[in-house]
Amino acid sequence: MLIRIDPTSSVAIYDQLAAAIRGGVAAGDIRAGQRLPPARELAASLGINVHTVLKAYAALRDEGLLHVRRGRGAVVTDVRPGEVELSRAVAELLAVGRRNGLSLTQIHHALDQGAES
Amino acid sequence: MTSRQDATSASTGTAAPPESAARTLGIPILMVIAIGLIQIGALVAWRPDLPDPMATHFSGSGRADGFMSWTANLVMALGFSTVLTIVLLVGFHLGGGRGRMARIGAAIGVGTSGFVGALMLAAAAAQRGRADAHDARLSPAWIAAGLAAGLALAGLAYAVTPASPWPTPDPAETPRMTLRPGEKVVWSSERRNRTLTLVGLGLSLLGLALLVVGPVLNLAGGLVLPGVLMAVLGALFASVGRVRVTVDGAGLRWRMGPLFGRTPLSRITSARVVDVVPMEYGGWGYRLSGQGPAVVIGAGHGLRISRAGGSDFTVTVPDAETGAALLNGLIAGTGRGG
Repeated sequence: MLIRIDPTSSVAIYDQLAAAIRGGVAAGDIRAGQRLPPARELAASLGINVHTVLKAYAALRDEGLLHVRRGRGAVVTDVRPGEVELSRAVAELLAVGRRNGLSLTQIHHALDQGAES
Repeated sequence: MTSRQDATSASTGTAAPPESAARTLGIPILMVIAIGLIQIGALVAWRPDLPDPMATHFSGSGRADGFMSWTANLVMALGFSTVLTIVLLVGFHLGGGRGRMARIGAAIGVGTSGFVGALMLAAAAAQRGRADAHDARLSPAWIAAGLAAGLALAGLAYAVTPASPWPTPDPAETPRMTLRPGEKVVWSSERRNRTLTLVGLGLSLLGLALLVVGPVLNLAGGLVLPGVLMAVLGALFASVGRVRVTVDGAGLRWRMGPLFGRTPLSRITSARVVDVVPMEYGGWGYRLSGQGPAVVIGAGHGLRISRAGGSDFTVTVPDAETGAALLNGLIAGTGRGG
């Protein structure tokens, strides 16, 4: 797992860190069941605040990408990055369809149109 | 595909300067030949005084109980103390004994040869002037004397044999990552060997079971020692089932169960990927090998670092290529290593 942080970037450091871990999972460098380094160690390695690391871990936990347990550290789940966000968006899209009486075909059509535009 | 090729070529490294390699192998071989020549010289010079057949083996009480002709004795002595030792020395050298290991190999070879040679000389001297070798006596104390001679020669061989130099890796074989100034980077990799962990846990459970079964079956004390040994051995096995390696601006550090270590960046001269076969390192766990110390969890890619004024260090981890590239990038960032 390689993490590169650019302090001169306008992107917040915890965002860069979370993105690096997401990228590692997506690329297969970080596999399900693998344990991430303890937050304190990672913070020391990168010369950043431990709370910044914890913030990134918490964001990934909320996405379903990590299990964070006291004493066991952060363990990568078998959820793929984007999976949680996508299923949330799908649920919302279906709810919009129901509210407005749209059929699935009409929703598909709207998706195709959206992809083309 | 390319990384595989890199790894194979990196494992051979660039050959050491030939004259130095020749001295590392040549000096102990010359010493072993000298020991052989002394034996031939003594056997030839003493031949008129020696019985034939000669006594070649003595019982614990010092009585002769094994016999051989003068010629067979000569051939056996040279075969064991000279030819076999030279074959072992060459084998060890070709096997890649580097650094201090090369000197230890020389000491073991010359010491063994000296021990065997001294005993042969003592046995021959003890039967000079005797018509029948059956009358010869050799005190078992000579074994201690032979051991002392062997140890002295081993020490001498260790002192005069130069350490075989560590191969300098070809810059083309060391991947390097380009880092922006001020960029903060960390690489961390973990390898697990479930087989080692399971075998260890199984062994520990078996040991604990023995501790329980012993009192139940009324085997007073009989199973306590094997039980404790198995439990401890199992725990050791299980603890080497996982290793984590971290590379950052401070250098390289690793942790395997209760064992850990670190090398500061300032001591690392370069990093590369090698193919690791556990048997070449004498097994799994923390190994002291001819390739320098190594942490071996399983077969496959390993990250190897060269260290200033010291041995190489190797650890088996996945994605070693990235770790090596980062280390070389960090080294370049400090203005060293071009």
